[in-house]
Amino acid sequence: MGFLQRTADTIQARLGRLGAMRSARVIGTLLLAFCIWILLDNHLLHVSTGLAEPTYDLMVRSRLRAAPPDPRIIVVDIDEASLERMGREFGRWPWPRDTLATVLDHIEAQQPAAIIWDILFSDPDRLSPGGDSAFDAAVMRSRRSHFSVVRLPESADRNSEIRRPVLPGLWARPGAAGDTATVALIPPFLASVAAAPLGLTNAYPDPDGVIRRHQPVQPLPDGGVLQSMGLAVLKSLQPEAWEARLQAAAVSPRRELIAWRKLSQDYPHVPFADVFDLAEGQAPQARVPSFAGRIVLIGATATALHDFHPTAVSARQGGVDTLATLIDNELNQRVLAELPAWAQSALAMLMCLGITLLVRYRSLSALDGALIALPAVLLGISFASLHTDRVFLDLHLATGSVVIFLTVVKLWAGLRRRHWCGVPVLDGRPIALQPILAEPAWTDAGHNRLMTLLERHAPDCRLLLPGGGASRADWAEFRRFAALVGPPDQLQAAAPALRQGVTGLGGTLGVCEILPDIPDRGALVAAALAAWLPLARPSPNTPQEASS
Amino acid sequence: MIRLSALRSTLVCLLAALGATPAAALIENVTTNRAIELRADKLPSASVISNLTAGAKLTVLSLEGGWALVEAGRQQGWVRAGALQMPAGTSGAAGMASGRSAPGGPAVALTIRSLGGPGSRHALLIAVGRYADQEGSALPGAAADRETALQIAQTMQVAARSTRVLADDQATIDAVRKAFFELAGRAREGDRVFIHLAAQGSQQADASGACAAGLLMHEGGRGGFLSHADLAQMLQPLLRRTDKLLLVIDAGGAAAGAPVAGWTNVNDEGALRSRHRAVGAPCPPGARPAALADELARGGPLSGETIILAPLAGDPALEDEAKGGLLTQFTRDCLLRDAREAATSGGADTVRQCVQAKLNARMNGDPVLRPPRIGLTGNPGAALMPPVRSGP
Repeated sequence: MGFLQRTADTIQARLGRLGAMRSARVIGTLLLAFCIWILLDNHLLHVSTGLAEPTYDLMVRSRLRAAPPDPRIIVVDIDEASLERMGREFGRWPWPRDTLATVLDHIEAQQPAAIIWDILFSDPDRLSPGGDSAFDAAVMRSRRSHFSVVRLPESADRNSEIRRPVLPGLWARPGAAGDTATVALIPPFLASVAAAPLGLTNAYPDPDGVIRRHQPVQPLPDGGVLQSMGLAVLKSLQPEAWEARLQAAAVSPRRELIAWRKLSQDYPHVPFADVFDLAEGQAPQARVPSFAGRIVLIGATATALHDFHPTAVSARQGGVDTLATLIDNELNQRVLAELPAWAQSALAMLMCLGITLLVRYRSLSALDGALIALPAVLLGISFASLHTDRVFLDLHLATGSVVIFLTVVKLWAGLRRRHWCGVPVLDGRPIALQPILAEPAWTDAGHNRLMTLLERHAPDCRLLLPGGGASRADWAEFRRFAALVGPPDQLQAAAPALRQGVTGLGGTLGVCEILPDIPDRGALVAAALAAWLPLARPSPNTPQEASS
Repeated sequence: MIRLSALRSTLVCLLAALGATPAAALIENVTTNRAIELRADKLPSASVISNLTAGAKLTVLSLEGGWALVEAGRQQGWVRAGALQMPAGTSGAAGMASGRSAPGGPAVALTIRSLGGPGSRHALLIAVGRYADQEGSALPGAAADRETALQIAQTMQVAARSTRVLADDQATIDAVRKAFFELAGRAREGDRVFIHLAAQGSQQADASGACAAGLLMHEGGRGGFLSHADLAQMLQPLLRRTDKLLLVIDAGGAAAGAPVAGWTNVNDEGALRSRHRAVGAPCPPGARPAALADELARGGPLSGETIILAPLAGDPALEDEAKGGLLTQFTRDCLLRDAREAATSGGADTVRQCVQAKLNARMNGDPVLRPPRIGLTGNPGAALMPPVRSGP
């Protein structure tokens, strides 16, 4: 207990010294420390992103509106029902690929805009090689099929022999120096698939495992560029837009925020089994829409196939729906731009500077409510920007900085007030009391300025405020009064400056009276009350008005 | 031959004219990897021209959708391409080092994978036709059962390397136990397993005097007796783990009043033989041995996709000395063809009914025995065969 008490006393004493420090120095130091922290965090440590990511996800899920899904996009879904229905004849997934050939021929015949296989055909089917042959033949006939390729970690590139000539459809741009770069990836097994348009279907989860961004292109050391599936489809459908997009993306290849649809499964899904039934001349269980002119994704949302990922829009989103979103965004030029990191840092630092100036030249009370309102406004701006589908103003750094900076400043202001409204330092000297009257009443800003006057001209003196300085005391009339107490020599020496300062604040400095002996706090209050009486005169404002 | 070639050329030209360019026209010596129907059109509802057996040689004229236009002997028709042993052209990238074997973190992808799953299906086929003790009669039909069971395994898409066969002297008690143990080690969560047991059935009084039923493994006599209780114990790990387990036990009880072997009836020319042999101490009169289902039930309820086809407790199992066990033969026929044509559901009970109907027909008017009754333990609705599609 003794140790704890000593520790508490030590901390209190040190904090008390902090309150005694000159406000300009403290605020300046705080501002500097925050600016350094902002730069370190935003460019190196990324501590605040731990708060920013869930906030972003919450914003995305709470959006009031989002860009509607492209009506051309439709998903042929290997769902649980399809697994069950197809399983009766073909066993469990993966089914022999002749089933896929049947569906491909059926869809292709209807002349869709594009067919995107969200399935990797990386290995031969040794049980049903004829199925592979049938699928190979169907792919050769297909003019609209696009196939997925997954790139492996770049560290494995040196272990790969795969260059552009064997998978030309994956490269958006050849290498400047003759395709020297090798790429580690899961290659297609079938010859026809390897010759078709290809796109990367990699996902790029953030460190917390949530997918929020994607990478439209991947540059290679030889100047070549690999394209994502979104770009591969864009190339097929809008070659000119693809050229421009490739130009922009290749200049600054980085991960971009995904502009999500409102819901995690906004695109229409058709069970694979129904399409298969229709292709096989059977009646599907549900109506299968026409695929003419549509962008058809063939993928899986069956639970057992595990193609689910946490994304900003849903904790469990189907990979095929994410891919559909990416393709939709490319086709409709939806690139969610972000504030660059330097701009975020600058904005956060400016906010802290603004707070500093307000505290310095007004008072902390000028920021009353700002602790809630300011972050709310900043987050509101971020939230509103998401609705544009064009830009996301990420103000989390500014918001976090404002909250923490304001909290620290408020804590320091409390320490400062405790210091300047405490007991004066007399060191054996007598004590003097000088009443001050303000019309209509002292405000927090006034108290703050009085403290600053003492800090500059009479550092051993203190403020005596009725009600402990509560600016919103129930009896508003008490707010007119204040007094300076301290060694008489210091009060007298500082009298001109104090008088000028008090007058400037709209107050009246009364007569400085030296008290006969050093009183206790109660006697000091009594003396102050006696000193205020001669100064007091009827206020132009009625008590009712002041109270109100 | 000239006529066939001309017809083939005409057909290919016709297909080309229709825009269905045969991508793999005229691939000869293609074999079927399972028994399959040759159909008049590339639709499952098209009429069946003939049934092709596993291993039948064909010439592929074209591939359209998931179907292949083939020539089988003098017949032309369509078969599912997946039933053909016909390799596809591989990409250049597939033969190169791709970095897949290199160490490194995993890549995350928005996609699923279409991998062949030969490792996910397993078969254990045990057929004992010859016994070491040579006291009882051999089962000449067991050799045919092996082939029949292999066909069933192929139909279930079990790869050859995932199929274990124990025949005659390989099928000792210890070897069988080891095979079950290894199978339980190989089978993973969600795998499918087919087990076929063809042997003499037997029953004997155990040490406590209770009657125990089971099968005789190669040792014969008391030493070769594999009780239902033992079998149930060996099956438990598989039951817990597998997605679907089909167990066919072609062994049964004593055929009271029937000769051990060699009788015939008018329904087929093959000589019939009972698959039962008494060994050890005889069961007390009136004692009913526990069926395998009872023994399995002690380990808890069976999973939804367990199917056990076997003669009812006490009913005999019969074999055609040339063609093999009747239960085995008819199970194959029903799974591959007949149950589909006879019923509208692909459930296990449909197969059992089909097998029973065939047994009844085979034993109809038999001077010695009434038809044995086939029991189904497990889920009667479990899917065992492709769904039936309505015909044209």
